[in-house]
Amino acid sequence: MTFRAVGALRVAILSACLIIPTICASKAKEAEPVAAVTPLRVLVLPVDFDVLEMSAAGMVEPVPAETVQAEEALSGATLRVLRHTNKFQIIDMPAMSDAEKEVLKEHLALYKLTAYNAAQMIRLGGPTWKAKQKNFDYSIGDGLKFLVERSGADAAVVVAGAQLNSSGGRIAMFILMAAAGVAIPLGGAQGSAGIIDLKTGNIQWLEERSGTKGDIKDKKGAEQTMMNMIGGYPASTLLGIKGTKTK
Amino acid sequence: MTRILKLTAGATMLMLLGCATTWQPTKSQAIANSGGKYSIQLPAGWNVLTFGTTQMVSRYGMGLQQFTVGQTKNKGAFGFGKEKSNASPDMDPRDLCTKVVANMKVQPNHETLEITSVAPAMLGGRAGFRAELTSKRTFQADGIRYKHLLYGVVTPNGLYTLHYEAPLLYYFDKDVAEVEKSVSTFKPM
Amino acid sequence: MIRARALSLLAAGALACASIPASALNEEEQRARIIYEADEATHTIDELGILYADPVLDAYLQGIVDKLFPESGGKLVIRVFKATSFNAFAMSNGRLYIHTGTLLRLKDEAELASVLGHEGSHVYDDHIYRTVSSAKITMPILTVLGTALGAGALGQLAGVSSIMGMSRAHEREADIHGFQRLAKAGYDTSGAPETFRRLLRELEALNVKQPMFFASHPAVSDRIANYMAMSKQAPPGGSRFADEYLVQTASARVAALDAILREGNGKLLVHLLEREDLLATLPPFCRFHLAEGFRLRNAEGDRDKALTAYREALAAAPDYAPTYAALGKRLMHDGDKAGALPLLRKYLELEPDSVEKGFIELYITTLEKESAQ
Repeated sequence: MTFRAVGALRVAILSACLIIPTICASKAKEAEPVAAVTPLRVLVLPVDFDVLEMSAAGMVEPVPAETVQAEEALSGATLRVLRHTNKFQIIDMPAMSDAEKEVLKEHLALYKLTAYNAAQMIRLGGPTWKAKQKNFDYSIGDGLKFLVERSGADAAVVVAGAQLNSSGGRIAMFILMAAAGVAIPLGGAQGSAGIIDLKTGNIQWLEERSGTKGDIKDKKGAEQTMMNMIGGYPASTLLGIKGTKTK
Repeated sequence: MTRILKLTAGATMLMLLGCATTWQPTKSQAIANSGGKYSIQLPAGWNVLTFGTTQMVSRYGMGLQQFTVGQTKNKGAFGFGKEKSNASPDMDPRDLCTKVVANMKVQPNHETLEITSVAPAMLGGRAGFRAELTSKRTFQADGIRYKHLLYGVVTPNGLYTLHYEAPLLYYFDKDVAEVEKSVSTFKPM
Repeated sequence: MIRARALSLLAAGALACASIPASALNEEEQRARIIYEADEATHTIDELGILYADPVLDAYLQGIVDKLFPESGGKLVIRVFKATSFNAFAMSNGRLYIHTGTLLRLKDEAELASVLGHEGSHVYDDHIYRTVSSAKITMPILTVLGTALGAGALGQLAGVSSIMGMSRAHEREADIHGFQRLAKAGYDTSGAPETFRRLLRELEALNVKQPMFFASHPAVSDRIANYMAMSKQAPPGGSRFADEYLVQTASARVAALDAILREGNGKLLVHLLEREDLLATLPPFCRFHLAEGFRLRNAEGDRDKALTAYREALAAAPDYAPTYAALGKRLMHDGDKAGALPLLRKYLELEPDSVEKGFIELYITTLEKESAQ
């Protein structure tokens, strides 16, 4: 209860802020014309997505069954959307020793922290951090370069996020508190997709979005969500790169 | 630990910090903090947030890596509640390190701090300490290993600490030389 | 600003809770979620390096748990937490945790079993689920306010464990059922009240208000009275296994002592080692910790007591390096250069790769220069 209520409050504050559009860089970079580009050979790492529920008392807890459904749907959608863009060649994950799995695990944890931190600073840190859009120098180091030789892949695609739903009690609470003049957001969703250069560890590309399209636990909703997230690659609202969306 | 809570907790902190004051690029010359009575040249190309006598400096964002320079009054510098004790300029720097680290360990994300080395260091002409530490992130980030560089010195004007922390993977080594260079310019006034 | 806003929002939310309809989840779904979260929390704890990793100790403690709960069939698993305070807690998934600080303060296996019997009973009596599921609807204001004031590594455990304390009724039930298991397993039950008497003395000596996790426990003095009443009715005799306990837990107890020293808590060191006579249950070099306790406490007469204790530590454990460094520094500060130098040199001889080698070398160099003048 200790952590969850604090987390709920913080989610509430953040969700409230994200309702206000802060994206739409006025000086967005134009994407380089993409003619006959050799597809990027990528490993697609398992999607890391949580479905959470906020109860009336403000306790946030995971919903395991829905989390599994969402991850499965988003994983499938990621593969389909990547193939659809014709910009990626999907490579199978190679076998790894236990020690290598630990290395991958720590690098992924670092990626998630780095990517989320980068997104938050660019979006919310003010002009001096927004300058990172032009000089996006985030990396996780070259500790995963063994995967290049092992698999033949150049990069890894990582998709992560979470969705916070409100329980029936929370919705009732919202109505009650709204009458009292206190805003308690009902919930929100947030996700990111990134491409990591496996040789250098540099995060080559990153997109971060709030909200989902439809129900992410089903095929259609997941696909719409992932199309919104990575379908326009190399466009990225986070990095201020405009581009044409793949049909 | 649920991931969204980890992430949004940190994010909200960053955002709220941004709301309370604004991030600025670091300057090419030394800056003086009149409240804290010290001056320091911060690493070039980073961003800084000033809160009173504290400068929070970061190249990649405080949820990831940060260099904090700060001053607190000697009275009640250590401990909490009834167990508070004072810092004093004639403290043994080794004992000073122990007390500063004990203070840090009660902060979120620093509960697992361990000193790996501590040595005497001169800061602005005064005898202080330089310590290296390790930790694992508890509040966010799936137990990522962190490395820390910590300097401390006490003058009649207060307790000064300079603390750099970054993930052990890639980030710490990347910028530690710049931080050490910055520390060498530190002068209590 | 953050705290005020958080408090008002959460307090308003919590106060409004009572009128909100109960969760739509059925019991099975609620239990599944609580277990899932407990499993996640367990995984986080395992990852963070905050457990005292000693498989032999874990096996010893597990043997005691299995003796107390023979029907558990492996459901209850115990691990040791690196923490200096007196605490133990149970998770809804059957994980039990005991602090190294608790092991330090206990003197035999019977006392340990009284603590583990209590915590295991929280799991067996389903207290955690019953507390958490009702907390979803009405959250105690104290807990709500507590959440707004910060959340560290243990914060996430609050919703899936006994760490924040159960209701008084549940705590009393766990005392009773734990005590019954203690007696049934053949332990001397007189250890149970002594454990709490020791805790009460510590709280009084250190002038500590009963810790938050005891806030909803029956007051410590009430628990002593309950345990004494139960002891009187229990069959006499029973085993304490003091020697076995002290051998198996020695390293963990010293680790707790080292951690208290690093925290700079001189008062606690002196209280535990001198007043509670735990020194007699610890290796001889722990006289060093007592000396450090006097040094840190720095009450009237402590300087002399520290010096005496350092010398006793040296005599009792001549190969224990930290004593040389501490006594060397003390003599150095007292102006006894001739006395300090050989001690500091001896320290580096015993610990050539010490974490604080730089400081010791500086002291030696300074003393050598001053001696040469």
